[in-house]
Amino acid sequence: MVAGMRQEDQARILTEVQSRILQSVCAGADRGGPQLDEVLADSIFHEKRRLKEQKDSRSRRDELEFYYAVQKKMQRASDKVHGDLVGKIARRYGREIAGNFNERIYQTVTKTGAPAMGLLLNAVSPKRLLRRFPELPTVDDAVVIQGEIEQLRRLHEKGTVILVPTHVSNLDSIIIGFALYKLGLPPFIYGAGLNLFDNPLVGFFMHNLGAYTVDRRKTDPLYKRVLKEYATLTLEHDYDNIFFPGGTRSRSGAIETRLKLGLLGTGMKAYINNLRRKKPGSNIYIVPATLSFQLVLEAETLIDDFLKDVGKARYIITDDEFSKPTRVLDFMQQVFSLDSKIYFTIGRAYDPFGNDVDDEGNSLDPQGRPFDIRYNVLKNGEFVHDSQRDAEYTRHLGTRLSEAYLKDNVVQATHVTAHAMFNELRKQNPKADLMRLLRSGSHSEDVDMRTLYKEVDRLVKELKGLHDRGGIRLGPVVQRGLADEVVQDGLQHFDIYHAEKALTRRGDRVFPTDRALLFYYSNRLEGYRMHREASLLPALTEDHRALRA
Amino acid sequence: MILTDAEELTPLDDAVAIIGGGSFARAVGRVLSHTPADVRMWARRKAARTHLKKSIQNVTVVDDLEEAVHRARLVVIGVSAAGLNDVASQLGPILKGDQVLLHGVRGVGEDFVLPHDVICRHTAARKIAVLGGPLYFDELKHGRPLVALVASKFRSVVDEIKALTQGTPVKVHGSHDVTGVELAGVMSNITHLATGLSNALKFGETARGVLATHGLSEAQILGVHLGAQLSTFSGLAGIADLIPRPIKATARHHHLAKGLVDNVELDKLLDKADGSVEGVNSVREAAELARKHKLTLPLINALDEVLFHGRPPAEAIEEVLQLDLMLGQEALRSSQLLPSGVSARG
Repeated sequence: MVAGMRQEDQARILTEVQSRILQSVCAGADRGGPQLDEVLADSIFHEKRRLKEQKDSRSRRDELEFYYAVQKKMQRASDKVHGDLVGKIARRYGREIAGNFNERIYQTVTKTGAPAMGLLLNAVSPKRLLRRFPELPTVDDAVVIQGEIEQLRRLHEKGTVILVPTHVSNLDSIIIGFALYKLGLPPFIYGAGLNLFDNPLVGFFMHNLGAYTVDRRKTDPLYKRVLKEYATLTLEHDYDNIFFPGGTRSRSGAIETRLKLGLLGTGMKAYINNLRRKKPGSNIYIVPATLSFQLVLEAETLIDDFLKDVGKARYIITDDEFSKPTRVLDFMQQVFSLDSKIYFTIGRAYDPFGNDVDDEGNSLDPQGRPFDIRYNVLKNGEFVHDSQRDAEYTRHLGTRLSEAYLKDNVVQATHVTAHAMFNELRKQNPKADLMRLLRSGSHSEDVDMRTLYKEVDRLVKELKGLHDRGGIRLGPVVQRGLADEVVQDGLQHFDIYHAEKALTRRGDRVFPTDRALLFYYSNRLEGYRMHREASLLPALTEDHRALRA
Repeated sequence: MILTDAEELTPLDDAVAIIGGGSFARAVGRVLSHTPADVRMWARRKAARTHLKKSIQNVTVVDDLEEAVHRARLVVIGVSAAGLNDVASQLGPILKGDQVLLHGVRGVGEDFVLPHDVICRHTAARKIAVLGGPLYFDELKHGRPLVALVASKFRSVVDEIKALTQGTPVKVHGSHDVTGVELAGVMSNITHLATGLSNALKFGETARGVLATHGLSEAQILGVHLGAQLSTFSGLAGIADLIPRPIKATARHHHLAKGLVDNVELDKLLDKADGSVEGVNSVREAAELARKHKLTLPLINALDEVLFHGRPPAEAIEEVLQLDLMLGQEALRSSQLLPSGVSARG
């Protein structure tokens, strides 16, 4: 069971998932969509294929047996039997998504209420590790929580909140969990990749602090429907949720622009269902949030994945830095030693249609006047779902969120230094395309400090202008705006963590020692049209998922 | 207390509101007066309202905008681009999210803001549709059907307008490319300014065809820049609308062009015009947009120079006629609008 969820809710939600899925499959069949037996055949096909490839799964035999049994039963059976089987599969998926809840651990966690990161370390707690790090990193000092904190608190009281953060690192969910705890909010529930549950560091939290399971290897369309329905129902039962609308950690390092509208759309579904059953506090609030790190734990793996297979993110990386506890602890120890800050910025809330929301929870029209959004889903006196209409509303919400991410992103020294350096490399090698530049096949290699300072200075000025117009947030070093200080802070960070530094200074020259990493950190400034003054085109395509040639 | 928990919902009226007193609003009023829906018309000026009362039967002309619009199933905006801002800001507090807005504006606001964006800046309305296509209202006099294109991001909005025009001589086609259809309307007026100049200069039929093709090409460039679908421009709202039309808007643009060739000052021509000549302002805003974003729009630039920088029309049009015609991909590439589509491996 998902943490923070009452046992009776969990049971009711699972029953409702099953009946709604069956209902919608039947309705789809009546409309000429896939028939019940086709849906079943699809499930069997996808699951058998998955299980064939996934030889390491502990439950493989069990699962295969289950699907063989379904296959046998569905032959020459009636629609009624087919319906029962669809319900059975849906229930099975639902149970797996909801996971197992350990009441005892949950109690300990909530009672002691220790900050999540300390708990995390205790949970790992091999004494060897603790001896290596006599001083536990204090997350308290390292995480800066800022932005629309008060509005988030109030909206949590008025309706149901979906927090939609940008996704950079697997540390995100831990930091967000910690931040919500610091704000005195109960844990939000969220879907975490199945692979994370086996992670020695955070598996513990995943199971017990509000996570439900998402198995990205399951390609069965029915599974995705169950997943969405489950999220919808938790919202309808008043559980605040966290969705990562980018779907996966940003591979390029850039802020995500193409958002997963399917999951976002569950907010609209839940809202309409709430209206239909006249639920008090029916409103759903979508609150964007951004996380900004000077250094990213998994940077090397992520950018490597991006360059290997541009545009087709692998989705499941099981062997990255995050899966190695010592690496994570190293990372934290070193990052915190530099007085480095992780910014968690909460943005202004939106309603499911993408309208602004005031602190009272009212939707605002573009002129700032409160108005009644219920009419948006009203048809002939009733609140109705309309998939095309609702997808359009959600698309608009997605656009607003992308804008919010750009505005709330906190730019820090590593980003500016990397961006300036990358710009200089591009300018010095006008004929090399980006891929060649990244494979270090460029003609001109290094940049002298003065040139770098000059470009940093130019960027900082541009960023400050953008900041004054409310277009971006700046970390303190960038805010002070001294080029040499920015570069120093950037280089210092690059020095301490990555195996191969992104940048290395030798005398009065700087060398791009790991161009992929340089590119990764530089990409945090993609999407701001900062390139124009340097007469460079953006390095990434508009969806930030591929290189522009 | 949250607003939406408190207020009672009020149902829609089976009524259509038409805003504006010009020829477009009147034509729409006449068409819809034959439907079962109540038609409530409103125009800002009292004289216009009096004229509406006299000229159209079977509609109610009201003195108050809110009275016309309140809970009307469909609200038709039949004003010029210059009047749209004002109307939209008045509509903001009146409209509710289940009402459909249909506009026929064929011009742009400051900074080339398209009509649906003007509406979205002032109101929370989303169910917005644009009316495009040839719209030869004169056909109706001869008992022939009228073809219109209605574009909205919402399929249900197009369906609703189709349902409302059932039984009228209007055949409504649907599209979801709001930006494209609006832009096609804007470019049609701009192109009619160019062909009007060419006519007045007696450059002949070929020149007119070439200029129309330039208009289409530049519509595509602007279209890609603003996120329209290219196929829109070869459809009802595009090509079908570039054919010279015996309607008032076209005539106004041609008339103004003739005046320019005769060396009459632009201000005087605009003062004398019988209604708004949307193309003039659209040219200025499009030329500005092109400068800002480095778009290659030779026809629009030529018109901008003639209208606002005193360049002799003959010289400017002649120059455009000498240019290589770039259509489709080539034109887009020259404005750096084509995604290269080359992957990192490439």
